[in-house]
Amino acid sequence: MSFATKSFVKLAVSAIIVFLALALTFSYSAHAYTSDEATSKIAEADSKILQAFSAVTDATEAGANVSSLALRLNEAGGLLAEANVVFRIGDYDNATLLAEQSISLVDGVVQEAGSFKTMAESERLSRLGWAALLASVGLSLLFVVSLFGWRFVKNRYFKSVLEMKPEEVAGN
Amino acid sequence: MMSIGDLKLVYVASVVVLSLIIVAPTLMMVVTLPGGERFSELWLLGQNRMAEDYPFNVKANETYTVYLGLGNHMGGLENYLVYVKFRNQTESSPDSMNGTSSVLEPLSEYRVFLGDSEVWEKEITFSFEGIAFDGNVCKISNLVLDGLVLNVDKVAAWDSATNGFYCQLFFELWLYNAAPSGFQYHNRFVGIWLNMTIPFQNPK
Repeated sequence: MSFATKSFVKLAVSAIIVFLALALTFSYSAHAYTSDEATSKIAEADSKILQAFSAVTDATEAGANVSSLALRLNEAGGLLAEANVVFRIGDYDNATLLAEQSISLVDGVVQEAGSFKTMAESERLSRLGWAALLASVGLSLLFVVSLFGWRFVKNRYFKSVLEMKPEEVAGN
Repeated sequence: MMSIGDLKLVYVASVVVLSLIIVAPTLMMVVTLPGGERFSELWLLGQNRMAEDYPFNVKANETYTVYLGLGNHMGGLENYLVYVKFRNQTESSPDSMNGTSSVLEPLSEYRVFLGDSEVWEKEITFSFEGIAFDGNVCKISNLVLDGLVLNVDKVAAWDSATNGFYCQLFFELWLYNAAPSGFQYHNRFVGIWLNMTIPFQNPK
């Protein structure tokens, strides 16, 4: 094969590769989402957000500080609301993209909320254990002190009774 | 003087009170006391963030501002949904007595997650496009809400009693309920009546 032919083949192959790459890029960017695709993506986002909300609620009830997760939920909820609004006006592309962004925002929230919940529960148990221990020590001390205290109070009472002088009542 | 029996009683009572004081912090960690009344707040403020200067006489292509606020006093994290709706005088409105929402389709919505005692406030801008007057009716083509053009195609009839073409922009509060798994109307709405007017034209 001559040098000119080789060069031509190389050029042709390069041109085909570039053409295919461009075609792929354009076909991807120009892909228009249908109403069904947008509906499905919005439903997925809605479901993910509700799952995340449920997990965050559980963590809150366990006493965890979930402010960072609530912030993410709010951002994701805002995007989902926007997705619903643009869907209603027929902009399915943006609706799908917004729903996808919403999904990626809540991604991992369920796991984080779960670990926050576990941490909060173990902290609560530990606090409860310490409080119960302190209360037991306090009650035991109180029991011992109250026994000695009762002796002391009783002795003082009898001492004061014994020191009392009999009252003389004038006879007739 | 107090008898020994009475003294013993007073002493035991004092010890019991002291015991309760010692145990109280631990008990508080286990026992949950019932909270107060649970409710949500929804409010709408005028352009100066006060309950005054609400937009009323509106013209086409002029932007108006209101502030929508939401407060959570439900005792925990809540998932709220606020629907934005627009109606004329004859269309369905929310019914506070029956606790039902308007049957109109929402134009827009806001989703808010609020913790207990937290509040949320949002600046809302709106304007109207394509207001046309034809005899005793006023046709409104678009509502531009937060920069997004929403087709409303609303017709407001002339109200001879109050001299105006009235439409209401209102916000309904919905709350997520996990038991039936869905949003339910929370029996709260706020709105403003708007009188569609013709822009004043300087006679040449």
